[in-house]
Order: sequence, then C-alpha cells, then structure tokens
Amino acid sequence: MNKAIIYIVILFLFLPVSKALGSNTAYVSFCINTDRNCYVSGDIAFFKLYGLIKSNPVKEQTVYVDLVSRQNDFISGVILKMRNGLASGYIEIPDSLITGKYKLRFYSDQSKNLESPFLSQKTIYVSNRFGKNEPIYKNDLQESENETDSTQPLMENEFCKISTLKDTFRCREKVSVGIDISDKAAFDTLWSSITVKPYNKNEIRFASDSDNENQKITAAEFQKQNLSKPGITLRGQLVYKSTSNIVKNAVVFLSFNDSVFRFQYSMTDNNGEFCFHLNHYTGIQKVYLSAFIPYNLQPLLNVQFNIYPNFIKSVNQQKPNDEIVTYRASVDTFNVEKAIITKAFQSRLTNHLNLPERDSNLWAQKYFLGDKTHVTYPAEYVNLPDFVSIAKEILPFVRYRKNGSKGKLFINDGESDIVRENPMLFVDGVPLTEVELIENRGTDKIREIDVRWRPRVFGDLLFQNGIIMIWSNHPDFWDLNTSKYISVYNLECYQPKMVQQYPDYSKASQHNLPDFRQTLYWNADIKVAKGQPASIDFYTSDEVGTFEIVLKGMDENGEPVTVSKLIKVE
Amino acid sequence: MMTYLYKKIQFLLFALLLSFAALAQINCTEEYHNQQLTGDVYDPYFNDYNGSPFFLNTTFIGSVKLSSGEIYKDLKLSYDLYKDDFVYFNEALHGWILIDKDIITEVSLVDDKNRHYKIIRDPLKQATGNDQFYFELFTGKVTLLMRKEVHINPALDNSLTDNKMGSFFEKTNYYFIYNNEIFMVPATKKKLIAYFPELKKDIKKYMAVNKIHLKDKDHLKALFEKISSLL
Repeated sequence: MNKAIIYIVILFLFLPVSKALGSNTAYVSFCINTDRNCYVSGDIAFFKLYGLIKSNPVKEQTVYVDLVSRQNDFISGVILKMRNGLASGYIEIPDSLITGKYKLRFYSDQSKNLESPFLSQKTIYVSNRFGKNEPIYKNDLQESENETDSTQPLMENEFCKISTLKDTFRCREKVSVGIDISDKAAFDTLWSSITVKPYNKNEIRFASDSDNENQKITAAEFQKQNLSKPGITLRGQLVYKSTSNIVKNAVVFLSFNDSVFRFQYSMTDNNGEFCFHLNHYTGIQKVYLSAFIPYNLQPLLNVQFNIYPNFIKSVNQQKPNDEIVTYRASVDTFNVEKAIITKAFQSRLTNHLNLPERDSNLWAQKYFLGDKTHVTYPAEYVNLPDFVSIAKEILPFVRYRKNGSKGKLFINDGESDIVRENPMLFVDGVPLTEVELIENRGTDKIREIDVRWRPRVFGDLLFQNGIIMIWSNHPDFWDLNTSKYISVYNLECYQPKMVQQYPDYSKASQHNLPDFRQTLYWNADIKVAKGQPASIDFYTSDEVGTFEIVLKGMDENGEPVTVSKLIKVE
Repeated sequence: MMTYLYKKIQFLLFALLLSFAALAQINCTEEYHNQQLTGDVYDPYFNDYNGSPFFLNTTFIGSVKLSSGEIYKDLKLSYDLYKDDFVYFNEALHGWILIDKDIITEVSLVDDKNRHYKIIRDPLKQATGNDQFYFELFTGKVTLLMRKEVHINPALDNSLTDNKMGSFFEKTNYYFIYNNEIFMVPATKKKLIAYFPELKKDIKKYMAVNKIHLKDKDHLKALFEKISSLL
C-alpha cells in the first residue's frame, strides 16, 4: 500500500501543472469564410478566419493560409496575424490554374503538430479564363456525377436579420443594408464577414457545413499545444557548405539593412538548428544571416543556412496513369467574359496599404550599444574622400590600418588605454567582417558613426572588443557590396493590408467604365451586437440578375451563424 | 499470487501513467529563447575596499522584470548597494554582468532563509529619471519603501597598510508614497503626522499604544498598514 502511495506521489511530481487542465471544457472553433465560392483565374479571393474561444479571448497568433489543389499540391500562401481570434486577408488566384476545385486552408506553426494540422479548410472553384480546364479521369466520374445537384437553399436565421429598403434595384443604384440581432438570440455579439455576390441556381455551390472542414479544439488542448504563439518563426539549420555537417553551438545573427538597428541572435542547438521570432513585419523582408563562434565572436566561413519552409508544402502527387475521359467544362455561375472585361479595363478595386514595417526589435535599437562612447557625424567636419581619412582625422580612438588588401580596425579604450583589435563592425545594421569594403566611403556617404569602446554584453553575447556602427546617408552599401560571411534570405512576412475601393455612383467620375464586379461588396470586419446593429452601403454594378447578401460569422460561443438575403437588379 | 499480480498491475499502471506524463512534458517544452539582458562586464572594484557593497553580502536566486514586460527567473543575482546596480551570473559567458539599470523595472530576491525581497525602480512609474532602487515593504493607499545605500569611508594615509582605499558602510532610509508623491519618513512623530493631519489622533494613539519607533522596519510596516486602513 505504501508503495502505491509513493508511486502516486512520484506521478504527481512528474505531471505538468497547467491551469488549462481540469474542468475547462470550453473549445476553440476555427472557420474560414470567403467572399465567393467560385472564382475566375486572376481574381483575388477574400477570406476571413475565425478562431474563437468562449472562456477567454484567443491571444495573438500567426496563421498560415494556403491555396492547394485537390491533390493538396501547394500553389500559394500568405501569412496573417490573427488577433482576438479574427483575421482577414486575400489570396491571388494565378492564371496558371486549370478549371477545377481547390482548397483554402489555414493552420499555425503549433497546429502542425496536431494530428489534423489544418484548423479549417474550404473548397473553392476556379474557372480558368483562358479555357484551361481540369481533366476528368475515369476514376473521377463517380464524384463528378455527385457534384451536379448541389444547390443549396437560402440560409435563414430567426435571430439575425439582414434588411434592405426594397428588394429590387436598378443598375448602379445605392443599396443600404441593415444587420441586426434579435433580443431573443442566445448570443450577444456576432463577428462576421458580409459579401454580396451573384446568385444563380446553376452555380456549383459548396454548402458551408459539408465543404468546410472546421475544427473544434478544447481550450485545454489549445493551451497545452500553445497554439496562440505570435510572430513568424524563421527556423533553419546551420551546416558547413563543404561537408553538410551541422554546426553546433554557434551563434546566428539576423539583421536588416536599414537606417535603424534591427538585430536578433540565436544559438544553434545540438542539431545545428536556430530559430527567430519576427513580429510586426509585412511583405517580403530581406534578412541578412551570419554565423559566429559564441565566445570570441569570430565569424564562421563556408557555412550555409538551410531555412525551413513555413508552409506545409506537400510533395507533388502525380495522378496515376489514369485514362483522361474528357475535360471539365466551365460551369461556374458567373460570366467569365465579363470577368475578363473587368480585368482588361484594369478596374481593380483593391489597394495595398502601406503599413509601418519596423516597429519591432525596439530592444536591440535601444539597448544594444548601451552608453555610446562617441557619436560622430562626419558631414559636420571637413570633406574627406574615404574611411581611412575619416578614421585618422575625425574619429577619436578609432584606427584603421591596411595590410595588403586587408583592412583592420582598432579601438583605443580611452579609459584604460587598452587597444582592442577587430571591434564588431555593423554597416547599416548588418555585421561586416571584411572591413576593407568600407574603405572608399567618404564623408558624403556616411551619416553617422557610433562607437562603443568598452566591452558590451547583449544577452549571451559578449562584444569584448567594442562595437562600431556606421550608418550611411543612403543605405546602399549592401546593394553594392557582398560579404562572403553573409547569406541573404527573402523572408515572407505578414500579408500587407489591402483596402477595397468600390465605385461611388453618386459621383460621375466612373461613368464610362464598365462595371461587371463579380463581388459587389465584401467586408470582413462586421461586428453586430444586441442593440448595436450594423449597416453597409454599396452600389449595384452593370450586371443584372439576382444577387445574394450573405453574412457569415461566429458568435461569442464559437458557434457559426449564417444568414442571407436575395436582391434583384433590373 | 494475488499480491504478486496486484503489484505487477500496479507497477504497469504507474509506468504507463508516467510515460504519459513524460510525453506531456515533451509537448510543453518551450521553444528556445535567447535572453535579452543587456549590460557591461562587472568590474570587481570592491576588492580595493574593506567590507562588502552587496546587500546582505551574498548572492540570491531571483528574477528580473524588464521594461519590456519580460521576466527572467532563477538568476543568480547580487545587489551592489554602492553602485545601486544589480549584477547577475551569466552561465553562457561564465561571468558576472552588471545589468543596465534602465532596463529593469522590478527585481525579486529570495535568500537562503527563504526571505523574499521585492525591489522596484522608479516607484512612481513616471519615468521621471528616478533611477534608484527601493525595497517595497508595503503597498496600500500609502506605500512604504526602504532604500539601502552603501558609501565609502576613505582610508586615512596611516591606515593604508592593508592596501585598502577605504571601507564600505551602509545607511538605510525609509520613504513613503502618498498621493503619487514620494516623501522620506521623518525622524519625528510630529513631522509624520503633518502628512496625515486628518488622522492625527489615530496615529498618535497607535504609536503610543504600540510604542512605534520610526527607524524600525517592522514598526514602520505596521504603522503604514494602519495608516492605509484608516485612509
């Protein structure tokens, strides 16, 4: 009996204590909504992602959205920052896609470890505008027959109503839509997206319940898996170029060519792996990677940074040698010709927003150097043609010596008269080992030189020989020079925000442009609460017919809500 | 036979549960993270003086909270009262590092007798340039702080026989924060009451009954707890 007690005590010692465990039975619901179900190649698909939890708000996390073929071949992907369980974005549908079904799916770095890594998936249909249709294999025939009857009734929700002043509108007429939640509804708040798209019974429709593969993960599992970690992870392995052997216990610097200091470091582990977390960056960022020995910060040569891809890029699975029976016809609902006309007139309705990109790494910006011993602005002195003269004439305690083709920097510690060789040199925020490359930069090219003559500690790094930072007037140094110690990598960061611009026919400015918008309106950020109705306005296009206003969202309990209404344009 | 079987089942069950627990721990492993404590290599200047500039002349296991909100736990720390700075032992660099003062907002220390100390910087949280560390003794409507300082008593020429340039000595002062202002605890009861005129009678009575001494840490803690409860 005593032994049993001892076993139990030991067991409890080993058990990880987590506040997520216990009676927490709440779950996180994941879902993906799109502005349409069918697209023409070259279109932009807009989508909204949900990851809502009842018990407490989902923290910030990074999610990956990719477009894959039916065979799960990766086509393209975007990275989004999900805040409070909500994110929205867009994905361009390439013209190279053949007509057929595709999937949009999303996942996070952490959910990749789950048995089912995709938090939600949605099938979309793409019609190639140049007539490149998907082959129908013999084995596909059964599935093809099943797809023919998939019309779906309108979705009603007695607790959420979409209202318009009338049901029939003229072309280019303003439509005002109200969205309200009934007092009797079981939920108080609804986060949703709204879309206005052509309605046609012949459209291949994808019922949200059957075609959307949405996950529900318990809150305990969510916290256990730490699924809400923010930031884009840049993970890779450091290897020697010649032997491909891993480099253990080295330090990898990640820096940016910029006018402010953006720096991170990572120690490689026993597998030679390094890892960086980047937050707040958008678009494609050029990052500079270099490796050093940690204790003396001597640069490592002939090493290679093998960066791991963030997206789940499946291996292309070729169809087996199956017989092609025919090619799938373009049976999508909307008019491909009109979509092509729209593209021909380049009446694109979206614009990228210029967001600030460098609001992270403030820590390195503020504290990397500590107290600078000298800050020099060479332009305030006499004009000097090169760095040799600048060091000699302007920089106190810095000396540049040339030995053959090699250059060498020294710092004379003004307090103790110790001469330190090879201080760490950064040019426009990037470490430079071949100091002779700065030789021809004169006062016209150098804006500022910061010197720290004393040793400096940044985390687990000791810059024993001091630090010199050179900032250019125009950060073109790294465009003109390359270092054999540095590898440049284009890192895909968060998708830049896009704003939609819809025609405003109250003004006469766009009178002559044809308007065959496939989606009349899309808004991914509609929040409706009890007593706080929402409203939207849009103009109808030149397209006549029936349009469907669809509101899809999730309530605070993580339950999906869908409601729609038809309007006619004559 | 039954006992043997029971023991065997018991052991197998235990082994199974233990393996689950171990797996759960593997899943919970944090991703590697590089620490961002910044500072300078610590210069052991104190060897030139008699005595010690360190709080309780010892090292503590403690945590440091940075202005970024990040908390570093289980650090080997010492509080240099002369420089009013914290030093920590960096395992990777095998050396003592003087932590940049302006990155710290709070330090927690635990000594070998399991006594806890909370030390804060800029107690008014106004970034007013008040770069001094204070021990937080009590927080309430009135917050009681303690500040320990070490100064150097320079050696006279004739005492330089031990090659020491002087000796350290320690001073302790108490402060309180009231209405978002910081005041030194005065030496006399009368001056203290002047800060709380509406509590004059209560403070007088409390101090008389409990024989409060204004230089005693525990007495001050009790007194300011009382004042906070009365406000």
